Amino acid sequence: MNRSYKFLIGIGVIVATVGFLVWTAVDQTKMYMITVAEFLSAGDSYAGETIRIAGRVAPGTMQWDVSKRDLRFTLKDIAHDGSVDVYYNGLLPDMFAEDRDVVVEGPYTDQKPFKATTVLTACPSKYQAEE
Amino acid sequence: MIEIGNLALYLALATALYAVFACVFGAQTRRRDFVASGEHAAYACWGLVGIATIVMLHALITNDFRIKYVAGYSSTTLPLRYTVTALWGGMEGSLLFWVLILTSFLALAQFQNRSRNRELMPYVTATSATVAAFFLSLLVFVTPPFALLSRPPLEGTDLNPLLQNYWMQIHPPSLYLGYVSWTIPFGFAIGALATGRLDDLWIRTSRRWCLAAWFFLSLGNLFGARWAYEVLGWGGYWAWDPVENAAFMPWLTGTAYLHSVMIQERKDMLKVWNMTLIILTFSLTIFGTFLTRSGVISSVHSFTQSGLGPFFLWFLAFIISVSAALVVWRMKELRPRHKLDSILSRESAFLFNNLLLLGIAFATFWGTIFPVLSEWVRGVKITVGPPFFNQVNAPLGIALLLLMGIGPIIAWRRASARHLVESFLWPSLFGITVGLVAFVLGMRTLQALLVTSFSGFVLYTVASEFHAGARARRAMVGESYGAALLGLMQKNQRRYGGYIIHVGVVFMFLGVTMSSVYRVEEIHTVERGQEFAVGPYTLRYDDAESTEDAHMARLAATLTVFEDGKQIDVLHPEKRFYKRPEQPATEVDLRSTMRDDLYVILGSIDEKRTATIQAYVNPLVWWLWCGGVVLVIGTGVAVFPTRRARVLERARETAAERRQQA
Repeated sequence: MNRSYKFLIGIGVIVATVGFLVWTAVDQTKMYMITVAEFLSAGDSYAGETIRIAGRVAPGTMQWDVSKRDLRFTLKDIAHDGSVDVYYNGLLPDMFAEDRDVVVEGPYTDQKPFKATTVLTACPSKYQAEE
Repeated sequence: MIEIGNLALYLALATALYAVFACVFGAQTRRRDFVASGEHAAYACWGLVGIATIVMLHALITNDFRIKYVAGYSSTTLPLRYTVTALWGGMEGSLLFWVLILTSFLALAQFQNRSRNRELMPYVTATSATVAAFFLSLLVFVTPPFALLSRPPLEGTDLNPLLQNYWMQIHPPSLYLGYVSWTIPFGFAIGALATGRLDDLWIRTSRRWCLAAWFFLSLGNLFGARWAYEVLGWGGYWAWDPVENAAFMPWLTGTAYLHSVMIQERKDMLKVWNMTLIILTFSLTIFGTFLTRSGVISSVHSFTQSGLGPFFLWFLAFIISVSAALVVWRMKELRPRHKLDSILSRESAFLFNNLLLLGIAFATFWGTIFPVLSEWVRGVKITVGPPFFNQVNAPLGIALLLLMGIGPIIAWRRASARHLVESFLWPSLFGITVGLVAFVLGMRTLQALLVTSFSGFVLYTVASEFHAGARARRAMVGESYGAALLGLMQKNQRRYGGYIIHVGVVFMFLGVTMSSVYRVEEIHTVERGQEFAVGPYTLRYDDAESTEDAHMARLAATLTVFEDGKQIDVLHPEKRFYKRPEQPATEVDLRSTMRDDLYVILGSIDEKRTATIQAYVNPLVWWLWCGGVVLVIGTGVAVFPTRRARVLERARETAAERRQQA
């Protein structure tokens, strides 16, 4: 076999491997980023997927059980009406508080409350001082 | 003072633009006086940016809260060392700091080459001054660092508490040094394209700059990882956050470049490839700056929209189109004179190493911009988290580790079957043995087994290279073994420095793999006096106490650590409440040993002082940092300016000069 073919095959194998890895990994790890309103109107279209819901912690709804590390709160849409109850077990994130913008992550389910595997809070920015 | 700062920035922009014009014009028309004047303008630009920086530092130190930037990032209670850190703690300051480094590097490069490389230098100056002019116009027209407040506050907002940390003092500067130093080799590449001096002159001349850039970028990433580990308090050191990826990508392409230039120097091949790599690396440094400052991609750091994004994108488009046009224009002259001989050769090992590094860079790029892409193409925002990057990059990284063992010992041009058996038999056997031993000792994860085994293979090849070299030298020169080893490194600094760096990288591979595969995590809510186990350790929660000063209130837990029933340490994880801006923060405590890190986070404490404690055992993380130290030593060996290196370099230059004239 011609040696430049060997190189082309070698290069092709690496390129194909990278492509394949990226393709399958995207498929297996993708998360849909949606708002509370989108979540409520989505129906079953996210069934079997992982989703991240962005919203705001509704004032007066946060319950934190220290001994069980259970966090329950209502996540409301930032711009529209609508809210979803969220349950999370784990450490309370530093910046978590009522009326703060947070993102909850977990597998899609139509059961209530939404069980979050992760709660992300927006850190204050590194590059912009608070106005 | 403030007026001086503003004026200095305006003048710096003017001198940078003049330097670009004078150098290009002077080079094109062969007018030396114009080139000299352009270089002087670049020196002046450096001085002016220096003045602006001093004005900013002065304002920060004297708490001049009339300036918006000072009021936003400093306060009267902030310790002096962090007041200085505030220079790069915010957007405007970090851009100013960036230009300061860039113009300093340009001044240094001009001085080094004041009587050498006269053909290339005008373009180096022009290229770097173009970049400086871009950043300066942002500072002058878009985000002026000396903008004033109409009603100055009595007290500043203070630096973000997360940045008030030792690692954060050195992480951004070293990352910026790494980013910015790529400008100089990029300038040499542009010079080579513009003048048509496409031999390896530009590569050899910019080699030290590349190594320095690579070195600082490596350190910057490691410091950042260390900062995340100690300050962010989630138990890990790398989150595949867009901002981290932004610094990782140029490191990958830069590493590829450092390897592939060796092929060009030896074989006169891969010229287009090297040009592409240096252009790509430089573009990625600008892209990284864009990512961190535009807010296009939401990151854990969640940068606010700053309106700078479009400017960076346009500048990026400008850089890429100009350099691509130059490469296409010179395509004929860049064509290789030789062909690759055999797939079983060192050249091809280098080629595949390059492809893998680029593959990792591509996957990282793809995952980083995926949310933007998916929204564009399909109208839905889809993001991929750390699992994506781990899943793709782990196999590619492991293949790269294997090549790291093959590359240095496989023969150039074509490896015969006999050579393969001779050089690979023992290293392979050693690697396999190490893997088997690990298996017998209970290691069952494929990824960990492969990394262990390949690490053994690489370490064996490196050790035998040193040993064989020293033995041969000893036989020839009659030195002692130690002296022979030193002489060996001195004689071929680049090669042996490179090997040492490889050892450091192997350590990092081991640390990263084992700490992600075998990490143990426990969360417990405990009353005073209660114990719980995590990995080989037992933790006893003794008590908590609170203290308060002007800066913050802190709540610290006392945990006694036992191993095999013996008390070995006491840890104090804290919860802090900063007062300005009001913000809680977690201060982890950790006990680090060569075997593993015990990493403890205080979750919360209630009135009865019942505490929630999260504890991790991260195996071999120590080796990640140790690998960093080895990498520093290796780079030192590779670039340390010995007398011998200078003589060799001089001789090579004269020879090249003669070839050029002939």
